[in-house]
Amino acid sequence: MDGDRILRIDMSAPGGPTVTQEPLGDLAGLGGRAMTSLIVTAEVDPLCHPLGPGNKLVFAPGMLTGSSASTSGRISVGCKSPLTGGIKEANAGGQAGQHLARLGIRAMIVEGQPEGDDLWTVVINQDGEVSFKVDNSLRMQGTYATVAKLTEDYGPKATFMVIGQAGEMMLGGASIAACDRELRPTRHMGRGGVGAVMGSKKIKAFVIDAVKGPSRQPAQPERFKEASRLFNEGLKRHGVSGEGLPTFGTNILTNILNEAGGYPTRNFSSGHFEEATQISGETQAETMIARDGSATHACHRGCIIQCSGIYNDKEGNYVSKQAEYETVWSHGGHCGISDLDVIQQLDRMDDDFGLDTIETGVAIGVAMEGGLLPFGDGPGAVKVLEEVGKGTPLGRIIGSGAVVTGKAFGVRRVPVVKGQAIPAYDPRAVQGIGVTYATTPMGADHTAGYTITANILGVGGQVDPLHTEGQIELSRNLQIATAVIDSTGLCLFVAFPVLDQPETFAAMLEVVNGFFGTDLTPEDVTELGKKILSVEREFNAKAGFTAADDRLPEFFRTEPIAPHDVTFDVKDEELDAVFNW
Amino acid sequence: MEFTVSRCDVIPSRLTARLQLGVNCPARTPTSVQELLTQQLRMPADYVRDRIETLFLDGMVVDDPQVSIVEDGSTLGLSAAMPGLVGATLRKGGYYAPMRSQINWTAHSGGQLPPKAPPGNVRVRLYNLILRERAPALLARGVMLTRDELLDLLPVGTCDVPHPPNGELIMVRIVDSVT
Repeated sequence: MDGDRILRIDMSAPGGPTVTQEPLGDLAGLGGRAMTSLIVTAEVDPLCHPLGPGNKLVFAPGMLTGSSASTSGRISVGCKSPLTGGIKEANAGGQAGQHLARLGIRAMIVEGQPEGDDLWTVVINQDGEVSFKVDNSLRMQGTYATVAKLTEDYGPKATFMVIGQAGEMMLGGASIAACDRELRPTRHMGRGGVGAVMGSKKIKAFVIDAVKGPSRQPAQPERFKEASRLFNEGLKRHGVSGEGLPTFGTNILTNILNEAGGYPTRNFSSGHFEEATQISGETQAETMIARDGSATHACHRGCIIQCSGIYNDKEGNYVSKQAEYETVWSHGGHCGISDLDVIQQLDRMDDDFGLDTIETGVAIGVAMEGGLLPFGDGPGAVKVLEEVGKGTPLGRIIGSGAVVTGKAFGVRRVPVVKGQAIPAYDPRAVQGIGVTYATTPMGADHTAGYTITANILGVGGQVDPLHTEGQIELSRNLQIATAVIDSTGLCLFVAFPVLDQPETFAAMLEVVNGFFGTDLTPEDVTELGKKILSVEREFNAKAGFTAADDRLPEFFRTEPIAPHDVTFDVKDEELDAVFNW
Repeated sequence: MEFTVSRCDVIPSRLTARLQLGVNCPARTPTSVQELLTQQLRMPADYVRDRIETLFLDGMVVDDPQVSIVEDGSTLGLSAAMPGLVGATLRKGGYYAPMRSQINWTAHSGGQLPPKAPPGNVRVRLYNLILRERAPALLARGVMLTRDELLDLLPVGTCDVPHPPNGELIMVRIVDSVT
């Protein structure tokens, strides 16, 4: 597209940060995870210190972000992860991706490190011009206070990406917050410590001003319009994207995982939480509605799934967005806590301090096992999390994630892969997710194999569903497809209608083709996914990762989990075959 | 002993919680999940096929309701389609069933979890959209509750709840209006 470009911000430049603009070159047409992973692999020394000047922080809106394609507003960030030591891509909704994309900024590469302790705000105005401002008044401010101050300074039509205290302290669990439509810093690029890398660059905030003019225009308007119509119909028609998620949010999963015995409880010591109904999506939605909140809310313009919600306290005052399933789990069942108000308060605090809710909740649960506080102690968990905001030694341990916390408290059962906390699905009950946890280049990540198009794409051949060996092929195909979705800017939740409705998958591909004027086939999609995964694994190999890193922690093989008394029994050689293509 | 109460006299949040925890439904057993749902609980066959995407029988994932057998005291969980990879994995007969083969219901897996319902009953748990859509009919048909479970649904002092002998269950019908 005309005007599309890459911004390169050098924080090391003498006299203060500078910016240059570059053409896209070979990266034209890419976005999201494809863009971040290709740039990180090409430009970052895999052996560099993730918090040093050699690391780079790469933001990239998705391929379709900023267009009128439904549910396409996501933005990715990539770097070498301070949590895993490998490559990282994290993504979020919110408005930032759309603002950047409509300015023609297809990627923003932040490199170097300034001298001194000044805290910088990077301002991108409505003409796409970049300026830099020192604002030390924001030091150790939470994301909510930071966004409030920035809104005063730059107006309510701008949007922001900010870090909280955790990012400034460069903790391994630090996230980068993007703002929703109401300028609440609730949409986080959460995993892998990306906020710590932003903190290492001494950048507190990005301000992206209101954008003039229409959305990004497709190369073939009629083709794009018709495909978008079919795609939207598919999203609305499907029971998950059209009904389940808007009604209950992602926390609709609590009861089901609990029923399946796959709900990790009290630091993965059981697969069943006896108080799960108190924190289920059904209960959460009913509570939000009763308190004049909302069970249906879009995190960015143009989303028709609207899986989020607004959670108020008993007096009807805003607390936080509707905590997602993984957050309710990490602070809930994982810690033995069944008070939804406490969990939502913890979610608010995570967002405010700029923390990954999964990593932080898992770390607190590990600390509970280590004896810091008892399982089920909700007020105690709040006090522990407050320590992160204060920057105390205990807070820094918790904010550094599950591995550091486990070492500090002498805990053997630490649920991580590649140093990143395992999310809310026990791989002993659902073995297939364990294959993805173990092998994804990102470290344990439930979204790495989320997109379910394998049977449509036919990558790797059809799988016999009656044989357990099929889960290796399934995980491979799921990871390939997900890598592509993460590049488009589409929310992963489009996966469900794409799975069940082949015509919706066709429409999705046609949306991309109509927008870019291309004729991509499913095979091209597969090749792009393989390319992304290949460069990510190449980066990790150069960073020192081996097959030994593609494993679950030992306890998953040795400790049967109730109620089914099962262990993870996928063989190592099978795990090593996931990326044989 | 039977007790009928109007839906407007029941605390909605308590009822939602009760239905998630499960209610005992009188049932003729053994029978297939399909027969129980369609013939005894009167759910339309296409609803069971298309809407109830996820079924659990005594904590095991059901792939085929026709061949999965409900025993006396079994617990049956009913859900619509779930998001996410794991959600898709748990669907009945799904493409991703291999990913959770260790928790599939088989003819030999019944009884791995302790039964919850008393003899002559099946404990039915309703989740998400299924809860919203099927609860009225199920409750109007009647469910078996302990006196304490029934009292939990009602505002204090609003109803004169009978005392069944020997702690027996009460057949409770919750209807739109009591005539």
